[in-house]
Amino acid sequence: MSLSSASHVYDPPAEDAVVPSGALHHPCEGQELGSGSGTPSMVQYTPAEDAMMHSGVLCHPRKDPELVGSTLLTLLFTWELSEASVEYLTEPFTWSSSGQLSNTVYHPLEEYPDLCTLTVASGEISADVNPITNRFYLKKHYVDALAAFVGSVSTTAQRWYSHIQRNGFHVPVPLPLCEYPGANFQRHFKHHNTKVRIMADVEIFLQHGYLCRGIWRTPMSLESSEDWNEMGYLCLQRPFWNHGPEHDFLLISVEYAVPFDHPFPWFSAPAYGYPGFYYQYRDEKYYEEQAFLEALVVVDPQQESIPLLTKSYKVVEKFLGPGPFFCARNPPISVFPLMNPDVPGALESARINPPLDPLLTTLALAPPQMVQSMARRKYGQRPRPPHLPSKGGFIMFRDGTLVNDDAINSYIDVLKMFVCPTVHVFNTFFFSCLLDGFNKVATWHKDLCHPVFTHMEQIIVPIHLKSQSHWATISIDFKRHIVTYMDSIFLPSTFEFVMEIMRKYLADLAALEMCSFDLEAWTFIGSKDTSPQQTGTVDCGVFLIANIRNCAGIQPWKVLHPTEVPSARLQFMVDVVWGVIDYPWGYDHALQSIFLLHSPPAFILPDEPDYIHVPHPALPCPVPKIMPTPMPAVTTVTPSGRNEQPSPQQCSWGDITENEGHDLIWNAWLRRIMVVLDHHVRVKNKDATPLAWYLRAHWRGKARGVYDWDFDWQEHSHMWTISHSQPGDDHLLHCGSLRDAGLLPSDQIIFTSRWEASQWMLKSNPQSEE
Amino acid sequence: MPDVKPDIKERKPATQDESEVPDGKVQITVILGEQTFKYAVKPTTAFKKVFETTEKQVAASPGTLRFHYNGQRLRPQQTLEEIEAELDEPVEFHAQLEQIGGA
Repeated sequence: MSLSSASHVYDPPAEDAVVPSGALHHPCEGQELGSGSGTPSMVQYTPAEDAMMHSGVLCHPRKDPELVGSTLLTLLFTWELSEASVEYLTEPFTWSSSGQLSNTVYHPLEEYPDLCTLTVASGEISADVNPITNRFYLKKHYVDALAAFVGSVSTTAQRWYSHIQRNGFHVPVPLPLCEYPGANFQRHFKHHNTKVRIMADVEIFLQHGYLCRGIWRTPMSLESSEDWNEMGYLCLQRPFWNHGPEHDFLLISVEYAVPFDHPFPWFSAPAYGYPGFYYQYRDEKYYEEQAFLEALVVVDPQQESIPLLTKSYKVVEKFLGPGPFFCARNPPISVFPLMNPDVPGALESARINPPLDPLLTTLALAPPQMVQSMARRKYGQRPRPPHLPSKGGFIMFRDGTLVNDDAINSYIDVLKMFVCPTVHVFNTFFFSCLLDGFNKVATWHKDLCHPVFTHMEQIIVPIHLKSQSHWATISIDFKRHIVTYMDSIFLPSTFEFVMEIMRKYLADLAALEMCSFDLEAWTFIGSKDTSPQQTGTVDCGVFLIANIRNCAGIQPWKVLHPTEVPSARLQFMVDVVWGVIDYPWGYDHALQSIFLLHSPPAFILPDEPDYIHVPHPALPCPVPKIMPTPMPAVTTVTPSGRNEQPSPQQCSWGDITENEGHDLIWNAWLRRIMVVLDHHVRVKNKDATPLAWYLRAHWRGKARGVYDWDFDWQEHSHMWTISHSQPGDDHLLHCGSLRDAGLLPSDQIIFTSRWEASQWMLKSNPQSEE
Repeated sequence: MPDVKPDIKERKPATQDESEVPDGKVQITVILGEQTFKYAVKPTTAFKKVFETTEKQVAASPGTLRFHYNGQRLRPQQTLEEIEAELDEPVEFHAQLEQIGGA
């Protein structure tokens, strides 16, 4: 038996040669193993267990927590070791190069209260609780078992299974409440000073078994302890496909974190074929940034479909980027995106029809944890942006799912940052509340420009029809006096119902605003032509989002064709993850940046000198033209207190032409303002600040999604403010709103450009012209 | 314009109600359909607590209720301070069931 003859760090007791048949293995493997099938088992299985294991359906942790809980694997998933635990150890803590842990007691991270509770509540794990520190300690043999298992992962599951059974290491604890594999790591990395990490996500191994079912045998690539360095990090020393043709599938799914300043020789060496990447954010302290890889590596011993595999390899290249990923051509390798284990036959179908659009297919099949890891990749340990939907909302972006309010509202939250202030998008609860009476929604209009009927251009209302569980959209155009009903499954009855409510709403709104309202002047439009019609039964939420985008004037204006729904779902999710809805480098770039690629997207870096201005289509709303008058022939005007530090864009006023000056000003100054505003909008949750809308509307072609989390308003406010403001100045109208919002001291004003500042200076001090 | 005065008068009992609330806490009313729930919450307490309590009281499974305040979506990790609720008025959260739609 090749598996047991491997040199393992930890030698289980001699009885381990007795392998319980069928445990965690597909029966067809027993035939190859030979000795495994006939030997008497030390373990008594219940008939149900036995049947399940022999049926080839390995237990899935989420579906069969009891079955999974009876393995060591669960425990491995649960317990991790941290530096925080070291100080409570009674003996020095070491992790030998051989992978042995040589200590007596450990306790789990205290940050896992739920896990502790789970474990203790079961009463079957002999964890010691220190009454003073209220910490949990594990017995040595648990730790040994754990260490040895992790140190030599390829120790077959049978051996460990029997060993555990014999030694009473029975942990019938349900799988900890983790949303995705590696959730523990996520929490774990709050302590990036952690010295010892066991970097095998054991649920992954369970997933191996589950994902590959009868095909998978064992993750042989992690066979020896050489794959683990003394720090406990998993490092794949060799290309993982060099294990001979006998393995059909090998799922490489490793999560790890790399503190950026850590010298990991194996990490930077491409020869190791390390399937990962790391994330550097502007040379700054995003050490906690994590890297993930989820891909299925398929070794095809029969070499039956070399063209397909080659094609797939290209897919991999795109998927993983040209970075450290290293792939041998012989034997031919193909890598598929991680399959969703819940989709029966996903693996087979992907094998038959290799994904044409890898990203799309990945996402279509992606388990929710992958989607979440996208968000984690983006945001790391930083505060969770409020617009991100919950897990349930994320799932809604997957193809073939119903769309819920969380997803739509998240999208609207993002969208609202990019539409001009005269367009307002209500969230999905507006219409439901409106059904209960106008009073319920009267306060919702606080953030609008008043009076609404003259100052607003458009109000967009997503509609949820509960009885039909359906989404539709209404756009109220105040300029043209048109109410448009957009429904991807248009029904005249629904249209009449909704429009009746909207008529009443408009009348009530007019009453609230105390302005006259003439219903006759309004047109109510609704037909199958106002919205593309859906073909499926689950996609109306996607059409809703597409319609809202179009109504709000997001470029490019695009009618969503039913066949494009999957890609639209993908795009909408990407939008939500990034918090931007258009991309200066193009959508492909944004996608690649999210999917494990080399560098952070440049458009989240506000101050890059090589920032490229991408011309943006005209704004859909009338925005005041900026400074059509020629530049003043003044070379020395410097707003007092502005930032004296020369920036790459800075040059003297005499040297630049009008247009150049205009661009420079916008690029250099308004961008900074946006950064600050963005920061403030975020910090103060003042998304409705009129100035923010105003500037966003101006800026949205240029500074989309310019986020700077560490920007200090106090520190930089002097850059574009001048004391002694003159209230009422035309240029300074928007300063008032900023001041109202509490963002600007009363004696300071804000300029959107140096030119504006100089104009103001000239105006206020005419003598300086001479 | 004449509506302003009665408003002020109505507010007075509201402030008296608030005096019953422990110091440093703000009374929150959660309205779910016909039901109302009142909580005294510190301005720094995350709404998660409120949400979970409400969900327990109506026997809804966690995460199925959606809360909003003046049209603003509330997140479990937000606080009263964060949403900048106007505390001189009674703070009313509206709860709704999850909306989901396909066809």
